[in-house]
Amino acid sequence: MGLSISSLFNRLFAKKQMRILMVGLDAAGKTTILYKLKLGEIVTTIPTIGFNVETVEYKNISFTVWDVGGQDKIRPLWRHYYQNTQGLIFVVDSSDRERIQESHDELHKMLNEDELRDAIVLVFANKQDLPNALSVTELTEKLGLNTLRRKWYVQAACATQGTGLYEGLDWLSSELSK
Amino acid sequence: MSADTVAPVETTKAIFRKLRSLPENKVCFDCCTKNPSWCTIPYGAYVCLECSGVHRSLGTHLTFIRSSDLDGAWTWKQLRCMQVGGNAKARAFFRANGGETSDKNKKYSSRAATLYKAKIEKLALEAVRKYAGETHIGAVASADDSAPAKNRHDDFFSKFDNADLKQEAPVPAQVKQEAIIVTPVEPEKTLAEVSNGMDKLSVNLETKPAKPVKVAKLGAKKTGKKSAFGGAKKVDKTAFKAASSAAERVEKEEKVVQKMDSGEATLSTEAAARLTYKQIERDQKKASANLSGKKAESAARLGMGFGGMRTVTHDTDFQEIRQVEASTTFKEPSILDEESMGSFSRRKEENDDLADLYAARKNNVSSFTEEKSSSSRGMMSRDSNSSSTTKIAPTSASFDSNKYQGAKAISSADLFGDEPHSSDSTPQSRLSQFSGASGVGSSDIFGNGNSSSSSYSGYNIRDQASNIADNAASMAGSALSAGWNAFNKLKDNYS
Repeated sequence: MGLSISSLFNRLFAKKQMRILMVGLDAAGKTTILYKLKLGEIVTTIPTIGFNVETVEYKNISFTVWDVGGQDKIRPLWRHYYQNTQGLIFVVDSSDRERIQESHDELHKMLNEDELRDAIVLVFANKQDLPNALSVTELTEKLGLNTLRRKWYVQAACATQGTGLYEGLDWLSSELSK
Repeated sequence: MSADTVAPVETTKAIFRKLRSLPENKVCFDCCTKNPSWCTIPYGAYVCLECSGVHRSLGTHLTFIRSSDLDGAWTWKQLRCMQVGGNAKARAFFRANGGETSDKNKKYSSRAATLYKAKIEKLALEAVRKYAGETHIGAVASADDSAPAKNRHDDFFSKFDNADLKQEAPVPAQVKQEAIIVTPVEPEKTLAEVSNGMDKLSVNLETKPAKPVKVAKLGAKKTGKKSAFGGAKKVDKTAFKAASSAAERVEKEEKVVQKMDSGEATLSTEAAARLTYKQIERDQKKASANLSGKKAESAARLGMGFGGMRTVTHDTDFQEIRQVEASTTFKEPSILDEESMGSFSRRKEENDDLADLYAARKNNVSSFTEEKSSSSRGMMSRDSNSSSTTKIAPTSASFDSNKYQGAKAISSADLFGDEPHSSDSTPQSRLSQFSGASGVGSSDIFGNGNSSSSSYSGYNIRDQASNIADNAASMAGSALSAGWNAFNKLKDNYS
């Protein structure tokens, strides 16, 4: 009886942990998203050389978000963060139409990795406020997600206004609690 | 080879080694930080880490940042942008066209910025066509790769003769080119040769000051060098550095004078024209200053052998000349100058060109994914990825984007239903439900293991549970605080 109560208690009160890896091309807005989630404000960022890591509490889940630099020479370092990653946040600059193909290639290269086979994929279609930004529909097509047989979710977002970010986390938390 | 082909890594390295050693590129374009390594490609300029952050926040429609260190896969067009650009050129253009402001958003959305961007792109595309696959462009290439060492020093002084003759020409391109070739001075030069050269140099210096205002200053500069010459044995790096920095100071003063001059001009077009002229004048003077620097150095060589100082002094001199050179190679009277002439029709033309360029670019972009299936960007080894995409192409072709028009999110469940591995559903029919949504997920398309409604209700229950937990916690907290208050009251009463 006592055991069942404590387990129920744990179920209700203990925070779930989720390890999230946030990657994407350079200047996609990863660091801005991270600190918008963490601090609720827009920080002036500089290109990330290395990584940032923060824990974000949301809906009783503690997300440990690793934000890794996106310059092309340091992209090979991403794989060192794959282990035990439950969720992958892939950030795309929706207004950078010229580099969508590059995003597509990076995403699929990553998803072929064995270590990420169980990770769920949240795509932030960031910078929706900029002119000529791709819609989530276009992005779904251009990133080849419509052919991707795993759990993914594309969310329109604008980090500087804070729109769409928590919707993304909602999806992550709902997937985690399944 | 197209403009979007990725250049070999070695080439990229060589190009940046060269470009970043130019004095003009050693200071951030936006602030004064030394040795910037980040490139704003549309403007062909170098900025520091902090400023690159600001640039990135502006969006790629205004400026596009890459790192010369941390980005490896540069396309030829990007490299050419950096080569035809340069901080000095960009600064001059922004200044001449009123684009200089500390507000970067304004600065890079100004008309000057748009014009300069179009110009750089045009020049870069020309350069891509002209110098397919060559590491360096223009005379720089010949200086680096072709001219054999022997010829270099044979031509050394004769070229300065030519410089004398061509004095009135705006920028004697050939001379500049040779000046570059010269720089690695051979130690085995005979004394006679050198002194012969020295004579010519001094003649050159005497005849050089063509513009009345600056005569006195040039003279002052010269005497400074002369004293260095007299004490040739004593000349060392620091002495020469001091001399050259003094020369730079003088030059700065002159710039101020020139600015004032141009301020007096009544018509803006006239002013612009004059600025152009001054620019040329300045360039000429720079070259002459460099000559005097060389003279001092030759003197040092005469006095004390061939070691040590060569690299330092030559480096700076050599760079400055080359920079001027580069600006003349691509447009003879330099498109920059033409524009700052202020001729209205000319500008209009530019704008039209610009419009064309943009239109063309847009077309490219829109057809980008269709046309370039995988090859051109060459970013990574696209082996199984791209081939798998093409194999599944039927599915992706059947993806009906109209149905998700205006969606804010799409998920795999939207397209495939809730079971990611069942391929029964028609993704497009499901897609239609999400027009107007902000998120679409895999379960929306492919489906989920369990039915989506149940999964969401489960999630809701959990949500409610956590709410209840929160409520309980807050109630406990309030009870505790109430108890604490009561205790305090008792304590107050009975103490």
